[in-house]
Amino acid sequence: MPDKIPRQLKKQASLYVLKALSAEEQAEFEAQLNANASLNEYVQELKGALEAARLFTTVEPTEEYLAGQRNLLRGRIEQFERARKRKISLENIFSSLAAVKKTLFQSRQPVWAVVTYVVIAFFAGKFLSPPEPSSPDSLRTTPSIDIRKLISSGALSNAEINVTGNGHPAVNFALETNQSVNVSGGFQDETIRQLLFYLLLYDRNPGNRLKAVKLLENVKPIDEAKMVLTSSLLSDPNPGVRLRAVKLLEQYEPDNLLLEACQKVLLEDNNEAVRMGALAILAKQPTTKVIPTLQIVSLMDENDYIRDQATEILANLKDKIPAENIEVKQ
Amino acid sequence: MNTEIRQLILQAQGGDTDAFHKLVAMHDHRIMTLAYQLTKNEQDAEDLYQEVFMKAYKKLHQFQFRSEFYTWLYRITVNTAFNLKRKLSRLPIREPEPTEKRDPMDWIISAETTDDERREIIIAVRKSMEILPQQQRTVFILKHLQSLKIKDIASILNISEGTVKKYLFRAMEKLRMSLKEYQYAR
Repeated sequence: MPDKIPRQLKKQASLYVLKALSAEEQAEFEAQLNANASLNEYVQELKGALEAARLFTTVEPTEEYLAGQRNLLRGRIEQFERARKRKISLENIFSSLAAVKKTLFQSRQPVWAVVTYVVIAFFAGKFLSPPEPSSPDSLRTTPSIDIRKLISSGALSNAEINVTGNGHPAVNFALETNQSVNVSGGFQDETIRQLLFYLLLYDRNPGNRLKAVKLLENVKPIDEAKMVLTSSLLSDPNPGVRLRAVKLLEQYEPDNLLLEACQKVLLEDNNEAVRMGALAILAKQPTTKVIPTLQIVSLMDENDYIRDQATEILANLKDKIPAENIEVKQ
Repeated sequence: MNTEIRQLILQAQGGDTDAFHKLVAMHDHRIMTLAYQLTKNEQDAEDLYQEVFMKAYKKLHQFQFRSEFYTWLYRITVNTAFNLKRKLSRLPIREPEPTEKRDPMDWIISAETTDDERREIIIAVRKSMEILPQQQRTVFILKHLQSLKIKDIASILNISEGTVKKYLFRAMEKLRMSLKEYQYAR
């Protein structure tokens, strides 16, 4: 009876039918096999079981089937490679971003310094120095008061801006002492311009800042206005004001300061319309300096249009500029 | 190791994906067969096949020619199958019941698929195999169905040769006993 066979011999029998015995072990086992009918029966049962189990070997994937699997694998590997390259590319971009941010951060202080300087000079210097003669016909201040002194002292608050039918803005202020002051005049008036700049930069009421920036559309493009608008673009918490500012800045010739400000806006402003405006300014005179920013924007901006536009500007830029002049991390 | 395989591995390690695909074409028949034997399910076998070669692609730089390439692939296959089984066992999903329309062997060439008796044997073998513990079943598949050497099986499963033999014996004994009732073991 096969079940009465010693365990060790059964083990040998299993290895024998599986051809897992050494030549010596096999010879020894076969000697026992010839002399032991139960063992022989047991081995036959094992062989039968193996024979049945071998039916699994009929599992034969066809070449066509495997070709399909290989194609699938090929696609997955290509996808993996693309993702890996994108990861490497993103790592390069992040290092570029860090460099850009570092540059902008370092240059932002001078930007602010200049803006602050200009604004202060603009307000303080203008009023410390003898005032330009305003046209007495166009500028009226009621009560008769030196409005420039009030501006320079920052003592104006609660402004109300009105535009009359002849295009003359009338600006009503209340002094901190509650004394009401009314200033009216044309856009050519220096004092009116200064008041609008003041309102745009310092008024707490976003409505007033928005009115101020809208009225500045009527002011001829001058450097002081550019500085104030740039400052507003970078710092105003209201996206409507920033949008007006960036739209107005499109009228100006982009210099380094404006380009750097636009790059910062492109990378950091959360308003898509404002970023589009900044991109429009960069597109006017793109230089190699803006390439890293455009590369980041072309890949990472959440807005499809902005990404496409950045890509297009980059492509145009690369066409125009000799390759050796482009410092781009690949 | 075959010189051609060695050369292809070196090329693939250097980033030549075509070389890697040649290696796949040279080994995937065995891997797919093993995948099916381990998973007993076409979909899982395909997933396993893809997973194995993706892992091989990603880890190829770690292959140091200390073993045969196919042994290395087998090791990945067995480990991945174990993980896959663990993952599947955690999912509350039942394996689909075979239907008349969908023969689980449809995807392969089978000598006599219309032979009822043969089908019965296959079912019996399957049932017998399924009751084997995972390690025993794997050892049995690698030895009997994949014709690997005891030494290679030990290496693939990271167990001793003695343990491989012990598992083989236990698997064989269980198979013999369970198949006896079908009288196919005579």
